[in-house]
Amino acid sequence: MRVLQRISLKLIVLLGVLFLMNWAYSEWQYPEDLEKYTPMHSELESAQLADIIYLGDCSDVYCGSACDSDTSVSAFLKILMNDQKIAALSANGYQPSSYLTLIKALDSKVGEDKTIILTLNHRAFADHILLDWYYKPIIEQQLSLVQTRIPLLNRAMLTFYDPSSKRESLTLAKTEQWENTSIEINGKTKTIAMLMEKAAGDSVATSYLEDFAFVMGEAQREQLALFNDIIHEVKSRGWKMVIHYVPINLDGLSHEKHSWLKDHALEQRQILLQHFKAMDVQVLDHSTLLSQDDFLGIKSNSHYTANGKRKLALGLSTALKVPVE
Amino acid sequence: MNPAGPYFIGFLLAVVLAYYLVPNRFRNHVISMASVGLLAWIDLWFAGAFLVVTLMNFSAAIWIDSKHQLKQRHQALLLSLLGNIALLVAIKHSNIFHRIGDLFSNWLGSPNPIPALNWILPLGFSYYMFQALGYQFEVYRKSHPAEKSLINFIAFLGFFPKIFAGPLERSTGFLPALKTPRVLEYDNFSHGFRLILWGVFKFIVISNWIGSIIETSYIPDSETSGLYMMLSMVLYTLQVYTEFSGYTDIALGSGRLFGFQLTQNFRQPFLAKSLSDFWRRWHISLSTWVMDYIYTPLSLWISLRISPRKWGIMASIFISFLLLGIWHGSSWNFVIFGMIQGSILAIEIISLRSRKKHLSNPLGRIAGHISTMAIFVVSAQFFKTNNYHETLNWFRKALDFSNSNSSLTFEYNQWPTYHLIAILIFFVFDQFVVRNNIEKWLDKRNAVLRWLFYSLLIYAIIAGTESSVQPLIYQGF
Repeated sequence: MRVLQRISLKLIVLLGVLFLMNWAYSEWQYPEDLEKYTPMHSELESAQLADIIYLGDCSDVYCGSACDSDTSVSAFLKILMNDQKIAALSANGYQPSSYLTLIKALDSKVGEDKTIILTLNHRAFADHILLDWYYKPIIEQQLSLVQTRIPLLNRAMLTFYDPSSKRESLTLAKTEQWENTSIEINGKTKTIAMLMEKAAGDSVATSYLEDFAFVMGEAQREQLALFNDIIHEVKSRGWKMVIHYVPINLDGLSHEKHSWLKDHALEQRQILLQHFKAMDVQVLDHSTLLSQDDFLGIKSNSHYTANGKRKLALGLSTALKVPVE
Repeated sequence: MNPAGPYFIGFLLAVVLAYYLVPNRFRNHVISMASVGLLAWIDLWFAGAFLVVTLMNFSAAIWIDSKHQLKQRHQALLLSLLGNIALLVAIKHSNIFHRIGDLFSNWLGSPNPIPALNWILPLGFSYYMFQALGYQFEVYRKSHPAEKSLINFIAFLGFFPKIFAGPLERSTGFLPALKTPRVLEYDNFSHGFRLILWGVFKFIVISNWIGSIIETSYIPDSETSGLYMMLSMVLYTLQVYTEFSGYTDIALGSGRLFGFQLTQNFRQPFLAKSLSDFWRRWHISLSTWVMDYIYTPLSLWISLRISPRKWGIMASIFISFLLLGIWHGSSWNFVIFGMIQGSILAIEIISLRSRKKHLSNPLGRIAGHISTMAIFVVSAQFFKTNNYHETLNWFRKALDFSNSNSSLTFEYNQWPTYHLIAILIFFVFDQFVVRNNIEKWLDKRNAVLRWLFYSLLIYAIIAGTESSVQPLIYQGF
């Protein structure tokens, strides 16, 4: 019994030490850690108070060497709807599970009339679904510091979080699944891997297949399930949901030898539109809005010119100002 | 599973609680179930492999012990060893034949007919396999009878705190300890947690800081200067030490919680005056195992057949350390590592008399320290890269002082500089002050100083690094 008493005493002293440590950490190190490990913390704070939150990916933020303006879609939207507080939670690589993680990090009690604009990109269902499992653990780790727990515990969660194990085991499985998923082309069944072989040397076809080609298989249904989870989460908070279906460069596929790829892309579009209609959520379909002039290149994965982004923002602001029947 | 992570620590505490709640006669059952359960939780294959090795050796030792004539015992031992070695080669070194096939096929310009087998090495396989081999020898020598309790044998072979990377426990020490009643003692708890805390600090904080400084040196085609690469080479050795000794401290501390004193694995290795001295201070449980079960019988056998005797001793030490290198893996990197160690140790044997003369004066001792460290630091590089081509390329790049980016500059206010200073302070403290005996050092401090020390370590662990995650280098063996 004496042993247990001594151990208990030591545990009490340890708790006291941890309490002091938490205070010291919160005072001196926490602000610096927030800047270093949670780069989106200021965006999250803005989002807490915003009327409209734009959840975007590279389509919102990317601006490469050929870019003619670094104003994003969400930035254009802020200009067009300057009577509303608009916040953007966008980054390269963000995908459905990233958005779900970010929404859950927002305090549901702050703001009742929020509108969430969620980017729907074909990439979420293609090879780049791998990015989802790549970035999700990183974002989860980054958000450790802003959870509603004592700061020192949050910091411990950051330190002991293991993103790599979650990432590696899923990436390989998903790659194999995507490559071996079969697709119907002109009545013949082929796999994406076979099509990639066929498209070798054709950069336009390859870029489409790598970035956007998909069939609604198991992995893709998991992605749809994530979108559904986001919709449920937003609705349960009493917020409004708008799905922003962003464009891909179908004009680049208009050449005769790529017409089968364009047909495939349009078939996928129908599948997605039908699904979200069934979810009873507003979809702003910009998938075919832009023409070749509004893209920075001819490939399917080309990003938008400033004019293209402006058109998207204009479409969004028009849709948001018109009440949904 | 990270042995310094919250899941392992949580599991450990849960098992310790269960351990002291049950009567003494069931405590080994708790250890055995927890050990097999942990392996199964990580991967069923790991648990399966462990049980196969356990049952095989449990039965083999009883069989050896049943033989009363020396020749019969000898034959039984030989069969048992062959079975174990066959399993070891099949699971761990299955690709050695594929690699040999590669050599010939490259030379002949034809495809390699021997397929590569990609077994996943079971966790702790090399460690419990070596323990099992040592156990067979001790039963054969009649140091102790064969263990009749399977529960005790599972606990000896698979005691989970040491399953990841040792230390290698001898059956002569651990089996009797398993049969001794253990009671809840405050000192065991206190010392156990101190060791675990110190081990976690070394493993998570120091090792990570070093890793963040040296990582650019090991990126292929990086622009790192030769001087920086040389510094990285030295720091990498320190990283291996902090990670491995940190893990060992966690294992020793965990053992103390259960009332066991596991084998100390490190004793100020950076103060070694010669390579033979180094191997009496580094991974002590493995080097003594090699000396007792490979070198000693081998040297006795060879010296009866080769004259003069010193050539037999040199050959034995070379072969022993070559096998120690191969124990780490069947890659040529590990073979080269073993050959370097074996060659230098063999040379030290024949030059013992002249070295004793030099080591008796201060300059000689300093030269001894520096040369020993230089040899180990250079040979440890073969652990860092995937194959010997990469290692040789790395050395070529490190020695290229024509690299225009050859300055070694640290801005005084940059984090790598602070980390480097902290690492140096740690190194001096660990090797010269604590002397690999943190329990003894803390025992001599008053309560206030002890708690300040604990607070510093806990804070550094929680808030001093951004990730606790890294593969344990020695776990891969």
